[in-house]
Amino acid sequence: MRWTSWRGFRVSLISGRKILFLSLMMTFLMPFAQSGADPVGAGVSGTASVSEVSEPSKSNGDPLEKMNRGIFWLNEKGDIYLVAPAARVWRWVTPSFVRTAVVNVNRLILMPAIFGNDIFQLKFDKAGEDFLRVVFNASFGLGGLIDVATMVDIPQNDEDFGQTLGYWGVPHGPYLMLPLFGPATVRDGVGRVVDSGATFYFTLLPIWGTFIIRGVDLLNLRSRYLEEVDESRRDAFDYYVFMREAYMQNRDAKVARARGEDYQRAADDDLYYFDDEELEIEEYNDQVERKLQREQEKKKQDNEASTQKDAGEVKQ
Amino acid sequence: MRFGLSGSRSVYFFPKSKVSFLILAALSVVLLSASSASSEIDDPEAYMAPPRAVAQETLDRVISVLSQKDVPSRVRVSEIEQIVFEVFDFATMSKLVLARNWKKFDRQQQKEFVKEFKLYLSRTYGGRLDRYRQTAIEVYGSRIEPRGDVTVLSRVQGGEFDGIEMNYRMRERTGQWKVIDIIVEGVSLVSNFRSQFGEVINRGGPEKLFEKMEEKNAEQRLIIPEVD
Repeated sequence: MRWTSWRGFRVSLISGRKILFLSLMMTFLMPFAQSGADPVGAGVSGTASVSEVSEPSKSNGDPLEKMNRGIFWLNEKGDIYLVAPAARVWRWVTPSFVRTAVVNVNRLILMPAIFGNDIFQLKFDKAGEDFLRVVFNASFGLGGLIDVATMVDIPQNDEDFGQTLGYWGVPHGPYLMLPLFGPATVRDGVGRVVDSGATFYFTLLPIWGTFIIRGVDLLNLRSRYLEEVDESRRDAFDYYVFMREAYMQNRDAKVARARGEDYQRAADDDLYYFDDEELEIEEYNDQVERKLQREQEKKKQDNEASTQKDAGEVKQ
Repeated sequence: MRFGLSGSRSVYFFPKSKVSFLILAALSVVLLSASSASSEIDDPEAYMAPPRAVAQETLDRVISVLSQKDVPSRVRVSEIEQIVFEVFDFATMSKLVLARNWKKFDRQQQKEFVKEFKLYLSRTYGGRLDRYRQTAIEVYGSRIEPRGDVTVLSRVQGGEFDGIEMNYRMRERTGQWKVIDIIVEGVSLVSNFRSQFGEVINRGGPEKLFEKMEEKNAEQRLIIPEVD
């Protein structure tokens, strides 16, 4: 009996491990999405994330809305009950310099992707910056722990393959909510897969190593935006729409920036002016006038007809 | 025109060229007036100075409020609310945010909406700003938009949001420059709320929107005094 219970204990331990493994997997996949989406601006896009330029709520802006909302709901539950609480614990147990160091290391890890995308966009000066950044931070920065490059004013560029595709004119396609990975579009989803190829050196690590790196990165990133996300959830009138608009706008702005275009201007007339109101009034007035004219004409014709009729009768 | 006058076939061309002359004249008048409309601002720097000053002054005020660490959070939040009240053009923002739906609201509803939206924005943003204490905001430029608005460009310095771009779109009304939109990293507040409100109104009508807005404002009233 003792043995069976012992065995029972072991069995439950193993399944416990499996659960642990699964939950780790979930957590590690999620940050991937988030960090890929936006290493610098995630906070604000934590409060944020984007849209068709002018009228994003038109039905064609999000043809997969029903499915997206379903996946979004699942992601939200995963975040609320698993990732966010874990991130809270992480923030509680780590001093802030550790969290900064983790961000720095993760940025270094992702540099090959940024470097590659700058090359793909023929931005060789930026690629040079990326290269210098890696050299400085990997050496003086003690393997990326300290962001020396920022101290000497080497900018942190923000590129990914989704932006590269946009740079070459590929439209973003329908909005897509990915399970675990969060908001994307068809284009950016493809971009994400390509970018993950730039961390090929992960394959040199044992699988659990990758999981730990990803998991820590996710928790760390999430822990920086606990309040922002809570507030956005609380303040949003439709959190799904909020997320979609923020994501789409932010992505469009980034692609426009990558192309050297001024994104805001495109949206100007639709977003900031009310000419259509005046036009509608004019149209309305025109309609009224035309109606009046038609009525008058009709009356005239009627009169004429009746006078003719009268005349005819008189003649007869 | 010249062709018409000098050519041997000028007889044939004359009437035509007269027409084309008229068209040309009309066109040039249109073009001239159009170009003068867009370049009616002879001195862009001078034109942009007042809105930039307003933005700069507002940011300075907000930052000085945020740096009062010994004052209770409640007081800071209400001071920021006050600043937001003064600097935002809530009537214009409400119109832009509701877009087509603005006309579906009657006068009373429109008034009510402006009031509630004002409360909502100042509460949510007052509360949020209060957490960013160690940050500075640098105004680094501005630009004139096609129809005379001015966008003031700024960047966050220091803190966890170092390098974030924040633009303020400003419009002059009755001699005062006021903020009509905030664009953070390309994400426009007006545009985002327009989509959300559109969704809510499509699903539940204006009543639903009012209901939600009041709910959120009530929540805020509960939350803010508790923060310390």
